[in-house]
Parts: sequence; C-alpha cells; structure tokens
Amino acid sequence: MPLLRAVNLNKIFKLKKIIIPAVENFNLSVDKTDFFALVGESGSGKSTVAKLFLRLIKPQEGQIIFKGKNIWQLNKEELKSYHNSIAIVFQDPYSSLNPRMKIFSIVEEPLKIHRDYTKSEREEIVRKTLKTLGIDESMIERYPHQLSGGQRQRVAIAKALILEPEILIADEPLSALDISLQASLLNQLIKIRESREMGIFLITHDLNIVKAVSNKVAVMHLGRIVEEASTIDLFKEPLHPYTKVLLESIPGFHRRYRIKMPRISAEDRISWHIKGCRFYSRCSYRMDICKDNTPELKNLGARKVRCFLY
Amino acid sequence: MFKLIIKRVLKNKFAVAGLIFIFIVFFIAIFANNIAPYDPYKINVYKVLEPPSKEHILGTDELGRDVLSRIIYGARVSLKVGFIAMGIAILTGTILGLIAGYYGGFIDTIIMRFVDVMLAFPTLFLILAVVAVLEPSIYIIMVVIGLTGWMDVARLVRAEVLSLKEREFVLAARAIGASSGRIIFKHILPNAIYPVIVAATFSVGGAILIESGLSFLGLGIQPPEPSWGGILSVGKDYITVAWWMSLFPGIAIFLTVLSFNLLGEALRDALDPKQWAED
Repeated sequence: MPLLRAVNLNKIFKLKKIIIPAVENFNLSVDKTDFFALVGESGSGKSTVAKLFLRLIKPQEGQIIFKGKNIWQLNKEELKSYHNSIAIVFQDPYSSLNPRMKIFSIVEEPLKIHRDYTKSEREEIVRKTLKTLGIDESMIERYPHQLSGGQRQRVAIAKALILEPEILIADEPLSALDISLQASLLNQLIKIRESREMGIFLITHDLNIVKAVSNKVAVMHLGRIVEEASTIDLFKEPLHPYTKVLLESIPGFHRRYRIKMPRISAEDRISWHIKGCRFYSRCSYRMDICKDNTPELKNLGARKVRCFLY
Repeated sequence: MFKLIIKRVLKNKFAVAGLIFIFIVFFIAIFANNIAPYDPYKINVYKVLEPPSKEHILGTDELGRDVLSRIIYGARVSLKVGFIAMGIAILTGTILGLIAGYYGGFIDTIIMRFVDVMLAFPTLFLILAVVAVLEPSIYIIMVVIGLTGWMDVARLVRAEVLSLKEREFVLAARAIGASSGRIIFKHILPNAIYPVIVAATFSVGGAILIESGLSFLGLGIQPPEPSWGGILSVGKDYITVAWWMSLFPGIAIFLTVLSFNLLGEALRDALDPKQWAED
C-alpha cells in the first residue's frame, strides 16, 4: 500500500467569472522509498498539488489517501499523526521563516506541538538537527534576517525534518539558491535519506536536479499529468511532446531531441479552456483529434502518457 | 529590528523634540504635587485675573487660582484620557481586526460592515450624544473616545492579517498542525504589530484633542477639576481682559498633540521599508 495517494483530485479556482482547473483528474502515489519529482512550467498547478497534500486547501473532488485513510476524514488524533508524518519545505527561505522568531524557536516549534519533551530535551534535539544540516551553534539565537539565503533554507529543512516525517514535500526548495548551495543541500538531503527511510516529493522545474536525484517523475502541464515514468525511462525516451520540449530546454542537454517548436504565444493563456489537449497550440505533433478531445492518461507498460500519439 | 527602528526614529529631529516634550509632560503629570507652585483648587478672591507675574508665572484665573498649577494638574487628565482611550481603541480594533482577517467569510463580513456603520456616524456628535445622556466623568470619556476610535485600527490589522496568513511561514505552521491560537499569537500578531504601534501613537494625540474639545464644550471633565480644555473654555469668556487663561492651555494642547503626531510620523517612516534604502 502506497504511503500517500491522490485519487482523482480536482481543484478548481474561481476568480470572479474565470474558472481555472488548477488540478484535474490527478492520480499519483508516493511511497516511502520514493524520491518522486513533479515537474512542469510555472502555473501548471504543481504548488496547488503540494497544498492539497498538506491539507491546506480542500479539493472539490477526489481524495488524498494517507496510509489508507482519506485525510479529510481523520479524527483528531489521526490528524495530529498526519501533521506529524508530513513535512514541507517551501521555495522562498525569506518568507518561509517567521521574521519575529529566533532560529531556535522556529526549529523547536514542531516539537512543542507534537512532542511532550522537556525544554532541555527539545534543545538537545534542535541543536543536533541543526548540526546535521551544517548550521553553526552560534546561529540559534539569531533572527532569520541575520542569516544568508542558504542558511535560512537549511533552517527550513531542519524544521521540516525535526519530527522525522515519513514524507517530505519540497516545493521548489532550491530554486532560490545559487548552484553551489543547491548541490551541497541536495547532497545533504540524500545523506539524510540514506540514514533513514523517508519519501520525498520534490516539486521543481529544474530537470538537472530531477535527473540527479529522483527515481520517479511526473510531468504536469496546465493542471494535468501528461507523463509519468521512472526517471531513467523518462530521460532516455520522453514520450509526450511537452516532455520533449522540457528536456530540450535544458541548456546544453539532450540536443538530439531538438525540434523546432512554435513560440509560446499569448494565446496560451486561454489554453485552460479549450476542449481538447491543453498543449494543442504549442505542439508540433498536433492532429485534428487533439483539438476537441482530451486524451486519457494511458498505461504503457511501466509508464503513463497522456497523448493521442500512443 | 527593534534597535534599528529606534535608531531611525532618533535620526528624525522633529521626532526627538516630540519625544522630549512627551517625556516632560509625563514627568510633570507624575510629579504634579511637587512641581505645581500652588494648589490648583485654591481660590483667592484678592488675586482674580492677574496677568503673568513673578508670583504667578502664567497669571491667575477668574477665581484667583494659579493657571500654571492648573495646567500642570491638567496634564494628568490629558495623558490619562489619551493613553487609556488609545488602549481601548487599539485593543478593540486589534482583536476585531484579527478575528475578521483570520477567520474571513461571514464573520469578516459582519465585523467589517459594523466598522462601516461606526464610521458612518460623525464621531464627535456620537460622543456628544453619549456624554450628554450619561453623567460626564473621566471614565465615561475614556471609554467613549476609545470605543469610537477603533475602526481604523481594525481595518489596518485586518489588512495585515489578510496578507500575513498567505505567507509561507503561516502556511508552514498550519501544515505542521499548529492551533489557531498559536498561529494568531505567535505568527500573525507579532508581524502585524508595528503598524498598530504607529496608529496607537497618533490615536493618543487624537484622544487628547477630543477630550479637550469635550471639556471646552462643558461635556468633558467637570470643574473644578482642572483640564486643559476646561481652562480654555472659561478663558474664552475673559479673552479680552485675560488672554493668558486661553493662550497657555491652548499651547499645552497644541504642543502635546503635535509631539505625538511628530513621533507617529517618524515611527511610520522608520517602519516603512521603502525608506530604508536611505541609510
């Protein structure tokens, strides 16, 4: 049984008269051995998925199943255990830490909520956790604005890991950091994962990171998963035209997939509302059938793809 | 952060002048018994309406009482009303603003429409009506001024909360299962407090002004208790023969309110991130 499973999730945002199906017919499961990457361009609904998993917003349809139970139908104790088992690291370390709390209090907070430790026990755990992430002891009495971006993100990760969650949701955790910091933080995450079992659900648009660390990938485009496969398969042979575009857009990478793509036009803003495939206007393989019919997510052996080509 | 703000405020000369004057008024109010040269209630029929002299620096009033002593004791009334009315306004506004912003939806609509209704009343007339019906006393005045001055604070706090509750550190707190109380008091309120401090500073000045106005109209502090507005009110009847009775309490009101406004202005600038680039 997978640890965390999304079943037919639908989340629609209504802005006055505009309806945006941010997440549509979304099925996905993450196990505790997975390093699952969700990729897609800005506005494809990736962060909405994270918020749905964290129980911050409620889906209109569908369920999120955690250890066999719908997270919106948990009793008080089960809910507490859910909050304890799932952790989040956000993209921007400047807004994910409370500017009026000291580093120690920030990292300590989850313990205060979920554990009955004494103050000295909490202090010990906080110090230990910060140390594994390479945060110096002298930092704990400081405020977030006195730390660099990299240090802040380490603090955010320390806070996420302090309860030893079973699954970590990371919403673009590295995109606000420079390349060298990204590498060292990634290495640390991998090291922590080696020391104990923890599923990671990584949301990103950086395919180099996906290739380096994840074992499964789902590609999202305008609210729909268009392709899901193991990382190896996906990078060896991307199937969906959108995945091909994504891979091709990596600088100095996979040049052999380079194909002429029509430029993204302003028209794409309305792609949400066309009846057929939402990639239609940008796709170089488009057929008549794509315009008015939505392709299903088809199973192709070990992988899935949403395209009429297959 | 806190030190930085104090540093910025102290850079502003007007604010420093205001701060010093506020300290002086505080000092005078606290040690009125020791500072005042005469008993502010002592009537002396032989020294009615005497102009400023060595004996009575600011002259005497229509009953021969020392104007300086009465102004010194009047500072107590003004500060008491100013601060307590501010406290009531800030507390009410902050609590209602927090509730409206945090819970949103129907509760928000109810509270904010109530704010609109309260703002639609001309405040001064509302206060006049209430004070006219009830027996005017310093406590009634404090409460009434406080309960008619919280609406702007509520709007301010609500706006802050609305933006703060979408911030990632608040989302993160919700994601780990923090209680509403913890989120409101640990994560939202400490980050919304600075604009409230600015509003509080302005509202002290405002409350002092309203109290003086009420006392001037005879609906505030009742004689013989000395208050700046009260002295001014009596002084206006004698303005052609005893200008000192109107001028000096007028200056006291003017300078005190000005000081609070200058301080508030400086605090607002100090807390505005757009102004930070300059230093």
